[in-house]
Parts: sequence; C-alpha cells; structure tokens
Amino acid sequence: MQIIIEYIVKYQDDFVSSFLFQKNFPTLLEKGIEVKKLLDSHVFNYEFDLDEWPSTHNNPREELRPFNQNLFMLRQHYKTVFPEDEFIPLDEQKNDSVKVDNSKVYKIKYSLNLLPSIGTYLHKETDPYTKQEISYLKNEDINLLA
Amino acid sequence: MGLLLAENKDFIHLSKAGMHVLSLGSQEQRAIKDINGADRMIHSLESCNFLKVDRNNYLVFECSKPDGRAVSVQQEYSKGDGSGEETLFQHLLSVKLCEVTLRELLLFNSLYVCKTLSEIIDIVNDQPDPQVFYKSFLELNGTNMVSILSFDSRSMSYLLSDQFAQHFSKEYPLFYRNKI
Repeated sequence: MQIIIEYIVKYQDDFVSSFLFQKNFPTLLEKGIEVKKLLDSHVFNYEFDLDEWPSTHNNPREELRPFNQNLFMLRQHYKTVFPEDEFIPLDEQKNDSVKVDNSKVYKIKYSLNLLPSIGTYLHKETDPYTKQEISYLKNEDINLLA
Repeated sequence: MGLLLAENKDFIHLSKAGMHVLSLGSQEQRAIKDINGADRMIHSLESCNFLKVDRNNYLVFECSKPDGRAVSVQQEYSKGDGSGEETLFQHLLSVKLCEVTLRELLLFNSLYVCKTLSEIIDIVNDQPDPQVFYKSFLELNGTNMVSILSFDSRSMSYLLSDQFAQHFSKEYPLFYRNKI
C-alpha cells in the first residue's frame, strides 16, 4: 500500500485521487501505513482558480470557511462561502455603498481541504435540473474515531 | 441510417463502412456473435458508470480510432452572464480501453494458474516492458493488471518503479474506481 500511495502522490497528485481513499483512509491509519506524503500532496488539498471566484481582493487576511455543498458545484458558491459585505468582489464594489480601500490589491490563493469528506458528513447537493436542494449523510459506514 | 432495437436497447448504425452496434441498455455485458460467427462480448455504455467520481459526472466515449479508444470522466458547468451562457466541461480523468491480444491473454492466464505468489512475481519481473500491466481492458471489467496485482508489494515495487515513468501520466491514471 505504501508503494501505491507513493505512486499516487507522484503521478496522480490531483484531487480526483482523493475519492480512492474516502472509504479506506481509516483502515490505512489503523494498519500504521504512513500517510504523511499523501496529506502533504494535492490529493486532499484542492487548489483552485475559478473564473467565478475573484482572483484579487483588497482584504489581505487568511480566511477559513466550511463548505458542505457538492465539490463540483464549487464555482457557483463564492457568495455562499463568503456572504459578508467585506468579501464582495472588487468589480462589484464600485456600484456598492460599502466603502473600501482599493489602493492595495492582493492575489488570492484558494484551496479546499478534502479531508473532512473521509468521515461521515452531511452532504448538500442541488439538482442541476430541478434546482431543488437535497441533503443526505455520506460515508455513514466510515467512523474515524473507531 | 440508424434504428433502435426495442428488446435489447441496441442502437444499430448502418453506413458505407458497415454496421455498428451500440448497447444503450442497462445490462452491463452480453454475449453476441459477429459477422464471422466468432463469439464477442458487447458492453453497454452504462457499464462504465463505475468510473464516475460523482454521480453528476458525464462520460465521454472517444471511439474514433480503434487502437485509441478512451473513456473520459467530465463535469459539466456553465459560464457566462445573463446575456448568454456557455456550457463547458472540466476534464477529471481518462481511461484508455485497449484491445487484448492473444499473447496478452496467455500472459494473464499464466498469472491466474500460478500456484504461489513467487511464481506471479517471477512472471511480472520477467517482462522487459511491463506496458501490458498498465493497459485497461473490458475483459478485466475495465480495470488493469496493476490494480488486480496490488495485493502483492513486490510486484508493485517493480511495476510502479520510476524506470517505467514513461508509461505514467496524470491524464490516464493507473488507479481509479473499479468493480473489483
């Protein structure tokens, strides 16, 4: 298993590979298999740059936010993740009444930690056709604490 | 000209090149006979659904070249504002489906008749070019021999070593969801 993990980290270093570990990650920990390289890789750390998310902002702080929706619907959820006025994209601020300092603009780096998707969690999904939101428990058979 | 068979949900496409059969039903695989009377197994498009990472993913079948058939997993998204939307696809992974040769079938058969693990390791290590272990076949339920042999660390250390890095790519991963 160690050899396979090293291969995945080197040649399949992508968030798509994280789905291979959703059911068996607790077993890897139980068996004492080294997962440091896996955790340091991009497998569980999805760095993204989406057109729908602003690439620059005048807010230099690092922010940590939860995201419970479907990963593949991420591009539509900037305002769900950052609903506050201070995170309004720069191009929308011009027409807004919020007063902000635009003298300094910083490049934003987004990353999504996929590790919470290993255990049981409440998954929210919007049906692309009916636009109806469905919530259900995912990975009910996986218990990280057992 | 095309027609859909009601019983098996097979789509028959007739052209100058001949007749093509596309299985659209839910039955994963079905035995048929080809024009020469040889036994064939026809796999439905839905039989590749196991490759999807998410149930909303799409599968794209690239079958224009007989020696380069591939199935790609993609995610649809829309881009644009109120004036007009454009539909785009994010590529997630691809799997090349190869046609198995008689020599490759004999090699696989040799692996299955091995009585001990060391015999399997000997066969694996004796291959100067282990490309056959990286190929995905419908005969192996869409997976490859690397995944099947993953229980053995010595075979893995040989097959996944950097000396064969020319066969590894991010676009065509060796490890993906399979039916095993």
